Amino acid sequence: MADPYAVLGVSVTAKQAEIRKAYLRLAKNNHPDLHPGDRAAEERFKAIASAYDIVGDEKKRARFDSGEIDASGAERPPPQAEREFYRQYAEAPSGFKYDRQWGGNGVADDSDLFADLFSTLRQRSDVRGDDINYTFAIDFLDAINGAKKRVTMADGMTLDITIPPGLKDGQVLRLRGQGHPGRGAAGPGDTLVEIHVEPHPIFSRDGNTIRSVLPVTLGEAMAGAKVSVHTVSGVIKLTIPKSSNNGAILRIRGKGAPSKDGAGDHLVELKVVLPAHADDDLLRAVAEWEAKHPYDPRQAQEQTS
Amino acid sequence: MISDTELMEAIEGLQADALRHWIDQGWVRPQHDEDTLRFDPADVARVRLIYQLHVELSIEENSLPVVLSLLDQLHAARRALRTLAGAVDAQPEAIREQISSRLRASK
Repeated sequence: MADPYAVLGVSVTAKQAEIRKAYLRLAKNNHPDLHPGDRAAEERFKAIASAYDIVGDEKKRARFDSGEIDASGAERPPPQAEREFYRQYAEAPSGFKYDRQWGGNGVADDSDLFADLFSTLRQRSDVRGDDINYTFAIDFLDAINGAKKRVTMADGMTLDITIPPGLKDGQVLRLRGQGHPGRGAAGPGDTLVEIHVEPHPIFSRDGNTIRSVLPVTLGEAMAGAKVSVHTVSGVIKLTIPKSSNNGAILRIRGKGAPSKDGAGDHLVELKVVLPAHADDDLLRAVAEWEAKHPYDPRQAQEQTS
Repeated sequence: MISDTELMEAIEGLQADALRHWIDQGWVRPQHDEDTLRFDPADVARVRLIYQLHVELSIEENSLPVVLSLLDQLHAARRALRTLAGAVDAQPEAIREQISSRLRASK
């Protein structure tokens, strides 16, 4: 770790305001997003940020000066170390999302730029327009039950999309003719929307099967009960059979995700939840019962080991 | 994808009204679904960049659109160059040779 004063080019007696000024000047000159492709600038920026992290803060600077902490700040790593810079996203192939917001001042897309530069591309006519690709995240239940949505995409484009019931994560919706206009007599491209389905706090999905865990009391599991269960199409009453063990799986037919071959099933896994506090009455009753009816739940394990 | 609440937790010092303003200005464009905002990792990095430029590096509000517009154009041009480089790479050896000798000559 270099000496933070040297990195910022200030003397050890510099005032806070001087240090801040030096930091701002260096940080502006070396910010990686202002110098894409310059690795050295990124390294310098990180060093400048770490240095300012120490001596830009009067308290930390005092601790550094007195030797309590080293140039790395000792107890915590510099906040810049693991940072992901914007340019990593902007230069990825999917980084086009902010290209089109500047009202025609920017480069609209690669093909326009190339047509601008290369005469051979300009002369070509009748080329179908390019597709526009988006990704869009929707709620779990909208994917199961279907929905019509008017949504604003990342680049400000508003689209009306229809989510078909039973849509799977990663499925692509094609909006024909809503892509870039074609050249010459050729038609426009399409808009392709890749849908990501957000996870749900209760339900999970495996093909067309929906799974959830249902907490039940000891009494409900032992004596059986009729309880309310959330399914993807609303709350229903579910009969828990007598002597249902922890982990038992109950099948609710037709309450899974819809598909062409009919809806899947919903599998409910029972989770027996013991009372938060077992009082003497309960402990005595269980102990008396076990004394009269001993059973060994580990018998099968003993035999196989 | 994260919500605006999670975003403000992730970027220390980021204020709700500042974020609102940047979205209204179109500097950040999260996904809107009725009232829900969702930020993808690129949006998060962009908010962090704007925060750095504006709050930490004191680039004034009036200058920000200019800086962002130039940055966006630079990134678009670099991406286009990358596409072009890929197209050159896919050419036969002899053509690639010709192109790279022209590039060397222009330096």
